[in-house]
Amino acid sequence: MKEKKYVIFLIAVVALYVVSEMLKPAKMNWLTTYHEAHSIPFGGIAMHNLMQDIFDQPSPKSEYRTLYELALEESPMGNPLIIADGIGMDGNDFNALMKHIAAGGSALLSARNIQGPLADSLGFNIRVEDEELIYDFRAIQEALTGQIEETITLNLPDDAKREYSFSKVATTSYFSRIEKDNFEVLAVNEDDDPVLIAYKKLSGNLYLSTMPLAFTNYFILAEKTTEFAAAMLSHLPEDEVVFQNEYYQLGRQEAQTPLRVILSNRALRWGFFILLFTVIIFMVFESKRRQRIIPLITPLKNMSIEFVETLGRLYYRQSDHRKLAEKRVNYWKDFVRGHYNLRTDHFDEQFAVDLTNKSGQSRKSINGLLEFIKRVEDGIAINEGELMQIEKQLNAFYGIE
Amino acid sequence: MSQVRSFYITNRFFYAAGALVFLFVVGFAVPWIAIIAEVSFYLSLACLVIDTLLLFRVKDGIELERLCTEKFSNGDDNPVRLIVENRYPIALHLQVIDELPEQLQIRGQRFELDLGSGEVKEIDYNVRPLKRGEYSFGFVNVFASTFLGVVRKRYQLGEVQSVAVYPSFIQMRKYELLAISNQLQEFGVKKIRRIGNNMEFEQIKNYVSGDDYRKVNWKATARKGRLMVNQYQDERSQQVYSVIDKGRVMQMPFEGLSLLDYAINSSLVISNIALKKGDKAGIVTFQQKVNSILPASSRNMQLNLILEHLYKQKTGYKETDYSKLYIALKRKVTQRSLVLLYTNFESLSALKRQLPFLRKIRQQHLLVCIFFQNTEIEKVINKKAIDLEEVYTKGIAEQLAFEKKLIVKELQAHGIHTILTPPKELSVNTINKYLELKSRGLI
Repeated sequence: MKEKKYVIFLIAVVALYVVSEMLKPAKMNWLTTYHEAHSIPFGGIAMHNLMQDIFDQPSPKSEYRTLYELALEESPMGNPLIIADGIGMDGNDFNALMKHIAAGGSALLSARNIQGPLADSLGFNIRVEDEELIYDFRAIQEALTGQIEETITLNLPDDAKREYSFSKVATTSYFSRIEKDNFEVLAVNEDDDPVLIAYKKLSGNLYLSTMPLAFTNYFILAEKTTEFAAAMLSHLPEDEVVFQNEYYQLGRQEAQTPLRVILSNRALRWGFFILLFTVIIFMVFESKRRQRIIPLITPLKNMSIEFVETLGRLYYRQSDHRKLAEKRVNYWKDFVRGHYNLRTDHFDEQFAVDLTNKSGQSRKSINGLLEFIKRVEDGIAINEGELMQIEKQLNAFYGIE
Repeated sequence: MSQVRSFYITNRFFYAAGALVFLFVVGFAVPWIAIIAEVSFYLSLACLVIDTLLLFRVKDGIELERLCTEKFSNGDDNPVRLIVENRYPIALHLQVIDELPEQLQIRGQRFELDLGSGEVKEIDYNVRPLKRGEYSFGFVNVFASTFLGVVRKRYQLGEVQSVAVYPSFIQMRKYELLAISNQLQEFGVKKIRRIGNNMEFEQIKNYVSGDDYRKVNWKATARKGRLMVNQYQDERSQQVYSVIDKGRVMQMPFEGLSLLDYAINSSLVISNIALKKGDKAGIVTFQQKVNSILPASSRNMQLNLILEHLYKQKTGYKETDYSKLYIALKRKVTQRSLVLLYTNFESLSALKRQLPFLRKIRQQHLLVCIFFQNTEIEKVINKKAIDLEEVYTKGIAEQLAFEKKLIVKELQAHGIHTILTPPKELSVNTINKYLELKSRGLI
């Protein structure tokens, strides 16, 4: 009966917790993923829907490999659309990209920060402001609700201009320097710093933007900024294949780790599954009880040695060597009285002879011992070395090996 | 369901699995080995199935019985016997795990044995309990495996059994027989020269060598034609009280057994011998007050009463109060008796506190104060000291051992008999003292 009560109580507590969690307002996830299937504010599902409208292909796909790998494995590879918080391509990726552009392909790279060979070779720098708006969820939320906005001006092909009002969250970075000869400015922020530029030197088109957030669900679904993303995307030729390369934001999404290799080989796969199975069997069967539980009962402990050691340490701190020597002599005398039946009130020649005969020790060692004992009895100071010496002599006398 | 629960696996299974994994890994590099590996896998699987069938097809294939006495003797080895029978049509390897009483704290006891079909074997082992009280055996777990040795079947056999651990009656019997047959010398019991003579005549008997020839009865010798001697009776019906201190000082264990249990075991031995010698035995236990008094008597029942009485003893290891003991003895034990007081003094000052009460008790009774040499400390004394600190420790140990001797002297100076004994030799030394006191006619 009593157990039932506890169970009911436990269930009630769990239920209460679940209800309270459900009633709590959901916490916003301000993580930037740009992922094709994420519907969080800074995910990319809306952009993919938008791409379906803009481009001719039925469903633009995403890739999770580097440009270098793609260029090697897929040819032609289609026009990459890279949206990421930061792009740091290495030389191989950069070369693959430039080859693609040189061959007449197009690409759109949008990131808050672009570094590495790309920035160095093409000649631009990016400046990032208000960095807390990138990682601090609370700051992001405040900025979005606080309506702190910045106007972005987009240059249209017919020299017309159109203005879009973005939250400050989306406009934290801009191109602080560009090689005027290489680039055409397509959009600027309030301070006339470019936020969207096109590289002109090659036969293809390379577009660089510092506003990746413009491609997120939040800003595409907001009516006043939808068009900006659409305008950026529409720079890419609509009759060519476009893919979003998510490698630079999310990395590889496929099965990683050595398992990929193991599972691809028959023998290794067998080995692996047998191993896995065996481990599970091991855990199940080795954890089975072989006999009933034996509760731990701590046995009584004899503390005599600890007691003696503590006392010994106390005396050792005082280091009254003579006092200790006296104690040892007392014990020795008692030993002699008990074992050899000799009187120990005074040590004369006769005593030494008797002790030598009875104990079987050499006369020399007995004399040494007696000399020392006399010194102790006379109250002469004893030093450490002598104490160790007497220990040796007594061990020899008692026959302690 | 019970079949599933009794399904266990051997190490051989895991070794085989390990070997298979290894073969497959090698097979990754050398393809034909992979084929061998695959074949071995199916073979192993077949072994597993066959082994399972062999073991689990037979129901109740193992019979087992545990034999042991209902009472165990504390501090001694008590025999336990397991009788196992294999009713399978095949030979088996068995691992036997007996669920021992938890007080023993033995976890790793395992017996491995091979048993042919229909064969019966016995497993003997000893149990040495260190505490009095109720002990409970559980089941006996038998893990059976065949020659394939991949699978094991567990049988839970035998029955839950409870055993009462009594004060050491094994020791009691041992010394009892010896005391009667006068062979105690073999165990270190001294033969005491008789000083006083009891003049109570008992019988005339044949002279055997060793009899006192001053007691030759010449008249009877002349009649019989061979040497006859008079035999006189020992003094009988004297009271022997074992007084057991259950206080703090008796808690210290030596070889796992507390001093209290040594004292209890020894009380039982000495009471038995006293009864056999025609004396009356009684028990008094005390700590902060007197807990129990079993009046001395020589009834037939008395030994059993003493055994039960000692079995029940519990203690909180409180500080002992000798004044209470003195008062109780004064009131309840009116006849002059031999009082064997089991206690322990670690230092001279500890004794000095209690000495007035001991002296008071001595005025009325023949008091033997029994206390213990600390064999642990003696181990320190008999070891070489390596550094100065150890020399100090050793010096202090010697001082403590010396103090025990001083305690003996102090007690003797007040006419109190003493036994200073290592815990292990307590019973022998107590018997010696009892026989000595009796033959000297001190009581």
